Formats: sequence, C-alpha cells, structure tokens
Amino acid sequence: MKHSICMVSDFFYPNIGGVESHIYQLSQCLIERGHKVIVVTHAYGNRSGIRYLSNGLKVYYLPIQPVYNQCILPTVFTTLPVIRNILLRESINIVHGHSAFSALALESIFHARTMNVKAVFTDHSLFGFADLSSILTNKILKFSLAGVNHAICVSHTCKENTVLRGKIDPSDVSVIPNAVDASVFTPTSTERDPEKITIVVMSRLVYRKGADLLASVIPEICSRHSDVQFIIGGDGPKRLAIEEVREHFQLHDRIRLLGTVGHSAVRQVLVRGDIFLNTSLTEAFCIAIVEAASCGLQVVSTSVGGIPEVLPPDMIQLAEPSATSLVESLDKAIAKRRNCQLLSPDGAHDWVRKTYTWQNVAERTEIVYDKISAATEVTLADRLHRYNKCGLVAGKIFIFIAALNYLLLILCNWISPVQNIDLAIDCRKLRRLKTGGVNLEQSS
Amino acid sequence: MNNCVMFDVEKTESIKKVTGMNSDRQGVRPKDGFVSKQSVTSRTINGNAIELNIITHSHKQCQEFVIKSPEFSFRRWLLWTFIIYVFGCYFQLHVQDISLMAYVGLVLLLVLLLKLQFKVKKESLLVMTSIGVQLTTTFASGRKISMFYDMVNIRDIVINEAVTVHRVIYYLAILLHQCSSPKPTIASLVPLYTHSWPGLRCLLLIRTEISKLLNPDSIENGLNSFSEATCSADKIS
Repeated sequence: MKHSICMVSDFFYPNIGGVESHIYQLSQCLIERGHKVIVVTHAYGNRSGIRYLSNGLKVYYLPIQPVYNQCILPTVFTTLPVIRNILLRESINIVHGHSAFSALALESIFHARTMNVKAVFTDHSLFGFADLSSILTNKILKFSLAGVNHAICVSHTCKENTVLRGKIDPSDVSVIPNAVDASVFTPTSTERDPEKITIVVMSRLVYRKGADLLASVIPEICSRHSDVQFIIGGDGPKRLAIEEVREHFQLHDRIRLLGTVGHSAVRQVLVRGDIFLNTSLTEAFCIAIVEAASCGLQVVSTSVGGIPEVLPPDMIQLAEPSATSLVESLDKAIAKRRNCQLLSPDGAHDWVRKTYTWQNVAERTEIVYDKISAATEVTLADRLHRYNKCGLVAGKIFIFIAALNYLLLILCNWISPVQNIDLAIDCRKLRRLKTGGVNLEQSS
Repeated sequence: MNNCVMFDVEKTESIKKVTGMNSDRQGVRPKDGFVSKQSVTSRTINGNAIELNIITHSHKQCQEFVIKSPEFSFRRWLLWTFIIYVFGCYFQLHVQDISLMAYVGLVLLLVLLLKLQFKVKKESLLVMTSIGVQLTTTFASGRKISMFYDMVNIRDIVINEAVTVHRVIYYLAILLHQCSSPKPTIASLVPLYTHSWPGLRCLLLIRTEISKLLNPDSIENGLNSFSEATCSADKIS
C-alpha cells in the first residue's frame, strides 16, 4: 500500500546533523519504495518557500524563523492554517514528526490528529527526569504522545526511556535503529601511520559528550604508551580543557586538535585512526561509533544509554563512564592492536554495511505505516479522555487546548473550504510523463 | 468547412464560444486578421467566480488573456442600503444627532470613492511573440496601469508555488534574465494577476496557451495538456 507521508521537523537541510540526515535518507528510501514524501520545516535565513531536493523530494520551508536552539516559537494555534492547507493540498495520510526538541514537529502532529490524519513520532534522544526542564519537557511529551498513533525509538534503551517519560503503551512503540551510508564510510589502510597507534575522537567538546573524561584519559594513556597519538575533531566550550592538558603535559606532538570538521571531511579524519574513542555521558544510539566501525576502526566507548546495543563485542570495548575504566579498556584495545588480534577493517565494514542500511530502516518504517493506516479512527471524545489522563491539572489544560484547536479547525474549514484548495501537482507523475514522452507523441 | 474557432479546452466548467464578426459565414478560416475570443468561467484561490477571456489577435503571434472580476452587483448594494435605511427609520436615527449622521455619511462616501479607486475591474496579459509582454490593470474608476516587458529579457512564463503565512498558492510569473550576461541566469521574477489571483485550472489554461506562443516546437506542449488532464481528474472529496 502506497502512502503519502509528510515528514516534519525543525531540523533539516541546510543544517547538518543526525536528525537531518535521518530524515533525508529515510525520505529517499521511502520514495524509492514508491511512496510520496514531502518535508515541512522552518525557514533558514533567506531560504523560504518550496524547494525540490533529489528524486523529487519536495520541501516546504515555512516562513517562520527559528528563535531558540534552531526551533520555532511554540505558539500552538498559529501553525494550524498553513499545516492544514499543506496536508489537504498534498493529500497526506501520514504525518511523521522527528525529535522531541522540535516544536514544529509536535505542533504538526497535534494538528494532524485534530484533522484525523494518522501521526507517527520518532524520538532520537534520551532525557532525564529530575531537573525542572526535564519535568516540563516530559509533560509536553506526554501531551504529544497521548495523541499520536505510534512512536518509533532508535534503541531499546530509548524505548524504555520514552515509555516511562510519556506514559505510553509499550506496544505502541517500535524500535527501528538509525543507519549509516556505508558507501561513504569505507576503510583504507594507506592513510594510517604504521609506526604509531592513532586514537581518533570526533565529537562536540561539551560536558554531555564527556569532554572532561577525555581530558583526564589522555595524559594517562600518553604516559603509559609512547607510540600513541590522538586526533581530536570537533569544537566546543571544553576545548580549553583539552588544550590545557596538552600544555601541562607537553604533548604537543601527540595531540592534534582539528577544530570543527565538516561533514564531508569526517571520513578522511576517521581513516587515519586505529581506534575510535567515545566518552559520551548519555547517548540514545550514537551513530558516530557506527561510522567509525564502518571505516574499520576498533571502538572504545562508555557503556551508557543505547550504546551496548549497537555493535557486537568483537568490534567495541565497553567501559564504565569513569577515567580508570576507560584507561583499562583503551589498554586492552591497544594491546589487541599490537598483537594484531583486531577484526580486519574490511570485515568490520562488511558487517556494518549489511546490518545498518537505510533500506532496512525504510522497510521497517513502512510496516509501522501499514499498521497505523489499518487502525480504526479515534473519536474526539476518546482523544480528550486520553489527554485528561496526562495529569490532574495538566489534563484539564490539555483538554482545553485540544478542544480549542478543534473549534479553530472548524473555523478554518469555514473560511477556506476544502473545495477551494487546489491540489498540488505531483511532480512524479510529470516526470513519468516526460520520460515516457516519446511514446505519448507517437500514440497521439 | 466548419468555423474551427479555437482549440477545444477539455473539462472546464462552461465554455461560451464567442467568435468574431465573420463567424456565421461558411468557409471562413480563423487565421489572418480574424480576432477570436473565447470565454471561460473559473474561480480565484478564494473560491470567487471570475471570467477568463482569451482573445486571439493574430494566430500564433498575439494573444491576450483577460481576467475579469465579477461585476459590482448593483442589486445587492441597493438591497442592503434599503435594509439599513429601514432600520434607521425604525430606530429614528434621523431625529437623533444629525451631525453624527452627516459624519457617518461622509465616511461612507469616502470609503466608496476609495473602493472605486482601488478596486480592480480586470487584469490583462497581452503576449506578442518577438515583441514582448504587457500587463494592464484596469480599476473600477477607469484608471489603467500597464507594464511592458521586452521579449529579449523574458526567459519564460511559469506557474510557481508560494507559501504565505496561512496557505500555499499557485501563481503565474514571468522569469526575467539579463540578456547581456553570458550565462542565462534568472535575474528577477514578476508575479502576474496579483489582484485577481486565479486558481490553478485557470493558470494551467493560460500557461498552455502561452507556451504554444513562446515555444511552439516544444514537446512539452503535448505534455501540458496531459498534466492539466491529470490535475482536473484529481478532486478532493
């Protein structure tokens, strides 16, 4: 069954990142499987309006500017008219929102459910439960998930986290991992320095990614092994800490700080290493270690979040998020490297290439779409009941917002009736006509 | 020989074939100095009815596309004036503050004059191959504004999509380019029919005709009618 899918998020091209490439790759694979996919996002600077990416992927850059953290201002009702118009003109039957940080995604899902269009939500990150920002975010997530038909998480740990935060039924959550474009991340042995053992680190240098742990691990390893060198790509507020370590222990020739590395240059940096080090304190999936494994590096990582689920034990060395444990694991990895006991780079690449493919992700996502398309419609009363369960006070507020949205939808239907909305021309049909254009001429 | 006036436009709401002077005579060919006009009723993006007149001044060389907004309904205005007059008499407004009534009357007169000045009666697009394109806007007071674009600067006339704050619309636009620069880059875009805002069907009609004028040898002319057919076949229930 072919669907018309609308991917919504605040994070898309021209921004580069995990969520952005996830949406793009998934959309391309779904288009190849024959579905119709459009993407809705906010404006990026001057880039506003409708653009087409490769394979006819239509992107709506809505004329709303981001205000904080790449996201739009979350006014719930002002996006209703334009989202309703887009869903009607493109005849969308499934809305797929990405990332709990994205206000646009959560709002679009809410409007889609008000219009009785099926909605799916993909969560890409883990959250805490304790501090004020987490409590508020979790409440908002409960509100969004109370309306959604199905949720997708990128790892089992992420599923557990989402189910606990959002109080959603676990049977309504699927686990579909991220994937990597293995044809880009290929191993090559010529870039590596044969005399030394190179450890590559590629992450933003922030607290969350364990930059402090890194700063304490580096001098220890450098003192234990004289032939080890570090290449650190990425920038952030903790860069100063690494530079201080370099100054203090006089390791200028053994630590190279590359600063921000562009997405297209990541592979060039990765293939120079033997070992990839990841010191994150929390991670839902960590696509970086899959990229490193695809380039043939041995991975050493902290065992947090969804990381243990990602790679098999012969490709990754896990450690507790403490300096001593990391140093131990690094020692083991370096010893294996010296004794040539590591999995060959080509073997690692082949494993990643077969296991993590975007085609597989698209296939599994299609199963979710088929399942929710077949599900029965939920009435407004049922939805309001579900919102009521979100909390004693919050439930009443959510009911009010949902009812007001429904009334606004009726108003929109009266002001701009469905018959007056022109259907969008499907460029896939035009392209099929053009490629078969010669036959048409002959037959007419 | 029948008077084959124009091409046959499929699937439009109503077609009135209004031909020129020599139509009732048999054996008259529609080329060479024979002005023919075709009328189509369509709607704007808001659902209001408009009339599109396609006037062929010279076959394959000069065509004019006129979009007429619906005429000012005198009957409706009279009806509402009468109703308000009756209300005014019922509430005895004429014995209350007369200066207020005079001010209100003055304001209403001012609004009427402004409306006459700015209300658009019709917009026309005159396309002459090898010379250029002229846009003319006629207001209710008889005032006309026109703009001419040289054919050398015109790259193409296309249908484009735009996202406004509360909806997404299709509009017709002229693509202009600098003829002096070596690479044919598009310098600017001029939207057409910015007062009447015709709907997609109307735009497709106009665009198929224009592409026959501007690119007579292109294969796309055959495809455009197909795209129109596929478009009109889709209907939102």
